[in-house]
Amino acid sequence: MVFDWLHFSIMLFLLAGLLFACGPLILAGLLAPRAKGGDTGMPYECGMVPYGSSWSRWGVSYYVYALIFLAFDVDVLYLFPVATAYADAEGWVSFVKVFIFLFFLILSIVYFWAKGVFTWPRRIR
Amino acid sequence: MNFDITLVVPELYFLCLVLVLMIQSLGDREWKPVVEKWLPFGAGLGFFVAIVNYGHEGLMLWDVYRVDMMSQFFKIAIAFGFFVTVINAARQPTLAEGKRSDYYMMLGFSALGLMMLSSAVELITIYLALELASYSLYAVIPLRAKNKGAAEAGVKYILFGAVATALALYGLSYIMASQHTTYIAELMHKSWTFADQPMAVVGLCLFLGGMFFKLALFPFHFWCPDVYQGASNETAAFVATLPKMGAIVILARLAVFLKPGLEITTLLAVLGALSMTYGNLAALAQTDIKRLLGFSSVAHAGYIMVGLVSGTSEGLAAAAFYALAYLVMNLLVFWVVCRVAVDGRNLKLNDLNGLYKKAPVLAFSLAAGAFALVGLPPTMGFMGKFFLITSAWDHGYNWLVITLVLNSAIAIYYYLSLFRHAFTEDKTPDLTPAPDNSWFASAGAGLLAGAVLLAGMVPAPLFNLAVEAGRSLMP
Amino acid sequence: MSALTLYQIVALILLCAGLFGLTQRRSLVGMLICVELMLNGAGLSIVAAAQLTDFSATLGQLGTLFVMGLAAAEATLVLAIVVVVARRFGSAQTSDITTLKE
Repeated sequence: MVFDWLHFSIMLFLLAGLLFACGPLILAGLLAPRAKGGDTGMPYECGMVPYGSSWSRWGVSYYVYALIFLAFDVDVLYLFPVATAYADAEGWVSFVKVFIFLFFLILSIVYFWAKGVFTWPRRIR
Repeated sequence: MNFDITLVVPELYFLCLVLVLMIQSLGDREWKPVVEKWLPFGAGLGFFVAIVNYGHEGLMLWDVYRVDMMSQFFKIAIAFGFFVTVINAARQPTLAEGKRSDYYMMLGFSALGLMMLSSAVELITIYLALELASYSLYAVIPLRAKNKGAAEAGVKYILFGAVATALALYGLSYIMASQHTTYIAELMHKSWTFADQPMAVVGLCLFLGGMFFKLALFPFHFWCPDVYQGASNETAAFVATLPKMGAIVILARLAVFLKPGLEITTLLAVLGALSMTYGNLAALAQTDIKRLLGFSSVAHAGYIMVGLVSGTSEGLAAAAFYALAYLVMNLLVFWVVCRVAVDGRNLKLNDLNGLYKKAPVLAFSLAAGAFALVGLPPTMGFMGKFFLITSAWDHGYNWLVITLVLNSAIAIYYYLSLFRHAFTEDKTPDLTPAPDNSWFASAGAGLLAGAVLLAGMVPAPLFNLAVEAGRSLMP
Repeated sequence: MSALTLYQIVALILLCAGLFGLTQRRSLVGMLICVELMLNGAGLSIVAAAQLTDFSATLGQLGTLFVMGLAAAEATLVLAIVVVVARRFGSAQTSDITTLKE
């Protein structure tokens, strides 16, 4: 294996990346004034004094939407193979096949819509 | 692509059924007719369609989907099971009013997935069909009023199921890496000895593990009693019967690799023996009827293995016939359980006391079911075990056959305690609602019991179908 | 050591990490994360097996896509069931969820 410019530039980039990540930390350690106690241990030390515990419970009213998003954003994966192969396909058959897939996705959207997943509840359950 | 629409009529029919259920679940609750009124007819027509479509043969969708005697045999069994479970669930007391159509839609999706599973002959396709069948089941398990046990059963089932799937996928990757194909037809001609292909053998064992999970065979049985106990009686009737059909058909398809004497075959036989022994011994200690049936199905999974290890088409036929017998016997027992527990509670053995006086037809049907599960003549269970024993004898696993016979003797004790409680004990626990004694309950129980007895006395027509199915897999 | 073996070792490490976590985590969501780790390890193993042997590479990639998609669907279902469990038990810790036993 010969050491050439490609390897050198890869090393350079690696070093630059490391510096970019660690540099600010090191600089902050060197330059920042040292302060202890007081409000530095407080969460969100931005002026307001927080009240209550940080382990409080939140009413998440839209969580079903989030759950469905989890499944749907991965379903888009199946369109990538279609995108690579579609240009070579001939005739209507491939269109129909893609449409069958999309039809079932649409059907599930309709299902969730009718079940009231996409409406913001007035009162958080 | 050689797509022939006449070959997949049962699947398309079930798809349409599911779509209609989906439309109904979207609509107003006041829609007429309510889902329980029309769905039994729809499911019955599905059973009829599956029977009419028997006898078709063909290979389609780039050779991943094969319609043959085996797949059609199991499609009829699945359609029949769906028909019975739908009627059984029609009076489910613990299911919320607004979720009924959705519940049946999920069951329909699961049945559709199992039908596809029985035709899939390529490992990735098998994985996809299996997941379609299981995901919809995972969703229905927690649907039991506000019951805590049902939620616990649901989360246990899905987490164990996901682990089993992950292991099966590792197995799939090893088969890919060493045998370079995932088509069963090509894998059939490869070598499966540990000396030649260690990686492939490990892979096949892991892949079979995914199926064993569905079948609740010994090392993968943890979920079974918990899920039966936690899920509502009607849901348990579905979970106990139909997914097993899908697992058995895939095991039968993969069993064509297994010649007697191979390491995997021996492993299967050992697991089968452990499964029957463990299931039967654990069932002895149970007092909850559904938990008892859960351990009993672990034992029955072991019995099925006897047919698969013999490596002959008769063995596969016996396994297919026993699968059918298992389906009908369990549907019968669960039917009686659901009718006795009219308020949807879990039954203890004591709850059966005095059933003979309160609902004689149910009591006699329960007796027929218990005798069939033991394997006493003249029931379907006896013929099933008889075929298993005759097909497996003299194929190198005689010790397994002897284990089966010994286990049947152990099993007599707890199955007959069902019988004893129903017929001889009179002390009824206080304050329990009376069993459903209507014509609906009696007719269903009577018909299923009649089927179990009739198929036990005249097994030849059904067994011939199973033999055809076995021959279609193994030339 | 061939590239295939290396990939399979990485996949096996993921499997073991998942199994270890599954037995150690005491919250259901933590268990779900471990299961996802195992499923993704399986996906890696499949795509490596397809790419580095005579097996059809296209089929292997498609298989991995299916694994990823179905793993996401499974995660959705598990989370939905965990919500049901949390509502009925008031907790999603495994130590609290033990009603089913004899």
